[in-house]
Amino acid sequence: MTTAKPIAEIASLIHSIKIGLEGSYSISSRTLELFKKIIANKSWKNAQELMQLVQEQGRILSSALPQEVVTSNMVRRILKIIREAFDLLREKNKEYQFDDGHTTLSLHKLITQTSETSKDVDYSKHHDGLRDVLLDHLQEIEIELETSSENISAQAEEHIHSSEVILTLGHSKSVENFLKRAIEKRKFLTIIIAECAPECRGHDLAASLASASCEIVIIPDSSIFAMMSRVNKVIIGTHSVLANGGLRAACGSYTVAAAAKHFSVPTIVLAPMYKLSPVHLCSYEQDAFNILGSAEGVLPYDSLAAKSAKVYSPIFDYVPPEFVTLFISNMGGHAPSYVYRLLSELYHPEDIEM
Amino acid sequence: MEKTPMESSSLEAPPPVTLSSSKRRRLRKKAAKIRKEYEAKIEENMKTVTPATNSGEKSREQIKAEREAKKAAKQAKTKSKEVVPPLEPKPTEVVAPKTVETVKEDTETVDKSREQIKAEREAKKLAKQASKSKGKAEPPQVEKVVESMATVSLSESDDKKKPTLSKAERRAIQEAQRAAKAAKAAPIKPTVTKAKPSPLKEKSLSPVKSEAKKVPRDCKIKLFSHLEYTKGNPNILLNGTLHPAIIQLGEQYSKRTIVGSNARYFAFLNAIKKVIQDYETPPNKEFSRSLEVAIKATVDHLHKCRPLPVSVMNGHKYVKYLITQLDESKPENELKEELCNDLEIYIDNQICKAAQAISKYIKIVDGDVILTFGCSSLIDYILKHAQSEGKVNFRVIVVDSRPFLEGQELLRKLVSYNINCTYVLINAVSFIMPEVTKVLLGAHALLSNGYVMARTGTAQVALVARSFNVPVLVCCETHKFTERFQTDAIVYNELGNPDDLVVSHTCKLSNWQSQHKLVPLNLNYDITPPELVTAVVTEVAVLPCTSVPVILRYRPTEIGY
Repeated sequence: MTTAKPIAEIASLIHSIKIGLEGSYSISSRTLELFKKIIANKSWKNAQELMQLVQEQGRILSSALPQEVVTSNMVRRILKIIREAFDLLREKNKEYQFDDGHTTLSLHKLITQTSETSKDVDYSKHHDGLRDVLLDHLQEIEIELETSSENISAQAEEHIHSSEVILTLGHSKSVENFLKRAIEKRKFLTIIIAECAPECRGHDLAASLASASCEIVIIPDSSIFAMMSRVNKVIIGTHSVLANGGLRAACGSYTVAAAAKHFSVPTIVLAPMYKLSPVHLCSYEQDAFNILGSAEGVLPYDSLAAKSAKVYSPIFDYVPPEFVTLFISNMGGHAPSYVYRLLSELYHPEDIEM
Repeated sequence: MEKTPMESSSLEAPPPVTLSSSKRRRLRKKAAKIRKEYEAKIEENMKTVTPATNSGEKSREQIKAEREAKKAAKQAKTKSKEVVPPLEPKPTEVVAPKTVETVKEDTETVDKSREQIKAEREAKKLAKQASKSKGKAEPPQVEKVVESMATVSLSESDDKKKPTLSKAERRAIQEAQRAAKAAKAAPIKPTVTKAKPSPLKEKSLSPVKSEAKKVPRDCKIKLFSHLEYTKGNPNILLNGTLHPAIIQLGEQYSKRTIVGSNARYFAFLNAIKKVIQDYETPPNKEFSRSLEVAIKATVDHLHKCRPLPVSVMNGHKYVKYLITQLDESKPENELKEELCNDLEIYIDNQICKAAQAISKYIKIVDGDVILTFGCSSLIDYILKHAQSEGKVNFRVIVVDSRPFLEGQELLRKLVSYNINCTYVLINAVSFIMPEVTKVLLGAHALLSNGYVMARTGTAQVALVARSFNVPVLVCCETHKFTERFQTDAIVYNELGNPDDLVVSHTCKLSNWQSQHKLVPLNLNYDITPPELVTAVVTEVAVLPCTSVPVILRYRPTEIGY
């Protein structure tokens, strides 16, 4: 592995995330902005060089922030765009057509395509106008990113009918917007919010959703099972979606999803496309991908038992795909079994391993 | 006999003494003293709230008169046979000034002459007419009346402050003012006042009404409108017949200083023992019959303080059974002694022996990782027992949940026995579950359909354990078995204080009362379906959940419940 140095902007992004920049959306938009700057300002002669640059910085990001998979996702996305743009220009310059027509891929081509193209393409050739094409594409991604939350919440009406009882957990921005839209459009909703101790972000969500037309009930995390028998739909956000359709979501999501499964309540997960990551959970040992937060909120440090007892405050939960009924992304709804296909469209197979 | 874990100092019964009449007198005096103090406090409240009146130099007669007036007011208010508490509930802060005012006025009615009352009525009539004839236009007129009256009273009180006269005037003015206000505020209201012509009644009701308007804000989750949260209910009043031990226990129940099905059961039986010891048969009554009635009254009182757990209900049933078995021909003292002995044996069997038997059934093997939820005295006993035997090496994971955080108590105890402990909150249960080998859970009650009623969160722990294929054992004595059926946690439950969910004042929830339709919900129990429970461990046997009715059916008949 090359020991590349992080450029100043990358270092400052890492720093600001470490000291508390939160929210997948703001992190991914910051990452995108940063790479846009790199592409626009750095000197690179051809696609090969650019890709190497992006890969190096992406590696630094992902090793510095192993939990923030959205940054790696964004890097993969940019790499894929570079490849696409390069291919497009190459086709144009070569000025020859495939016999069987490029647009209508035959079954044979579908099967052989990936192995052929990846090896054949020589990215070191210089093409004029690559920079402009790239910046155009990045602009598109930026717009997609900005509208993703809006696109998700626009689907609220398709999924929520009037006088429905909805349960959610903690505080997710997408869920907040989604539910706000639902409250606007539908009458007599009841929203049950599990507070998600020890940080109790559920309280913030409750305060921001409070309105005259919707009943909001806050419950401690222990009452999830008791209330689930009356719930029509579970709607949760997630930190990221794994390649198998499983979730890495806020701690407590497993219980919510399992309880929903027990009562056959549909579980809907709101996940914009940038949260889909081509990562598999290799073992059910959750500490492999989890991080532990401060235990002060769980058991005060000055309590008597804190001297000898171990205290854990994990941040994430792994939710297996069989607990999820539906993903709602900015592109529409998807079944968990379809996630792998979305991933293959979203990222280039070469970039999955960074 | 080994000490049970829940036998904390607060529960310890004083050594049984046969009470002399002098002691009984003392006890009664004590109860009377408590009452007096309460009354004094209320009066003090009133004094502090209304400094305008000359209440400072109230003589004894005045106080007496005041009390009488209060009584009169109350009689008028509650013509229904609702238990009339001898003391007025402490006025809540919001309505305090109003109540005090009315009470004060009531006192005055006592020493008011006929003419004054007449004058007052006239003033009222005027006000009412004003408000009735047409809501909006009239108020000025009423105010005029008020003004004129005020001037009258002023001129009168100026030349010589005759207390009775000026009082009457003041009263009339107040009346008129109030009517004017009512007319201004709500033109519909007069009809209400018309329906209740008695001035006394109306006055005493008005503060109650304004209070009632604020209350429904608390518990208006549609799903739970059939349950109500009783917060340290001020309406429960001590009528003189209750034993001080019961009054104390009621306080402890409602303030939750005694929690947990077993601890409450234990405290209840001990208190009943005291009641039996101090019981005096009223003249011309049979000992056993009247005692049964007295005990019923204590149970009712305790139930009002906080709904009683199944274990206490069963304990009560057993006490009733014991009383019916008494041989009436024996002298009273002997009977009491017999009863107390029986009770002691029963307590010992149901708590100590049962815990021992259950701890025998639970096999903890080397390397076990035991997960438990909340704080169960029985599980505490089992783990302590296993640790003290010292044969096996095991560790314990205590799972806890807001808002009760009872697990911290269990954790403190376990740590003091040198057990290797881990502590997590309930949402991390799936994080910790892979390493667990057994889940031990306590219970509040076992229902006839095999469902387990326990502290909220138990069902969740069982569910996650099930999904990780970890055996779930529910430890429960047979005195917690009940014939009730329930299939969800909503039909019957107890609501805790919603304010407990608020973390601190910086929390966004702290002003939930002022927000639209935002309600914290604090459920006390949940119901675990039998399919999530591997086995129930009782002192009789290790059983599947569904065998509860079998145990109920074949319970030795002498236990009788």
